[in-house]
Amino acid sequence: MEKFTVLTGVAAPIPMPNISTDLIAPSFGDIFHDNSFQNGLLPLKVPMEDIERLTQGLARTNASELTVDLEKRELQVSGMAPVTFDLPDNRRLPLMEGMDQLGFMLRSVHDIAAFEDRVNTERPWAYPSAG
Amino acid sequence: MVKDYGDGRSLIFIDRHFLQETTSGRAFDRLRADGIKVRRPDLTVATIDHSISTLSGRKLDSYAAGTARNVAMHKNCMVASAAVTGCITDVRTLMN
Repeated sequence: MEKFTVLTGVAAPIPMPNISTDLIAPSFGDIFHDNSFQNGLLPLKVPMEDIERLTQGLARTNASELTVDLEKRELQVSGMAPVTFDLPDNRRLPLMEGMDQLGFMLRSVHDIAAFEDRVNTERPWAYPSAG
Repeated sequence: MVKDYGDGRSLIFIDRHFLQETTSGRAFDRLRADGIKVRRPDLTVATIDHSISTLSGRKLDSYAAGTARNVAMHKNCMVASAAVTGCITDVRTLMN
């Protein structure tokens, strides 16, 4: 079985017919990795040995699903010990809150407006429309 | 910095945005989906960056493989955001 599909030219992840869920791999290209989060796709970096363990666990139990538990930072497959993963809070929390980066930022729209008012006064030379 | 959320996240203000045709389509789609306008078109510049002919006299559609994205970005800048300051329609200008 082919474990990985090589994805090329995907600086801007878009829904793909054969990939509609999170991606787990030992590494990702930087731009793809960042843009995935911005498009609500979780690109999870997991060491190869853990991926092998998960693959074996899925095969052994004939399970068809793997759970990504963002709260516990665990990959869970029925019948085997969970595999832990690292994911910074700035990536993890928006996913748990069900929002993308823009949705998260829009919660702070009043803070943004206040910031703009302040910097327009402090640094009018930096903002063409400030004057 | 606009805001420190205290949980490892912070919001910083980017005072110049450079858009290019490869990724801006998705961004404009996202704005359109929620009826959101470009907040600061006065601080936003867009130009074709990747898929454009290198030949003299080139236009948005001179390189067939890039035509759809080039035309989409141009339309997005002109229509969706209404007034992006520097949507560079002179395609002799590249970002890189």
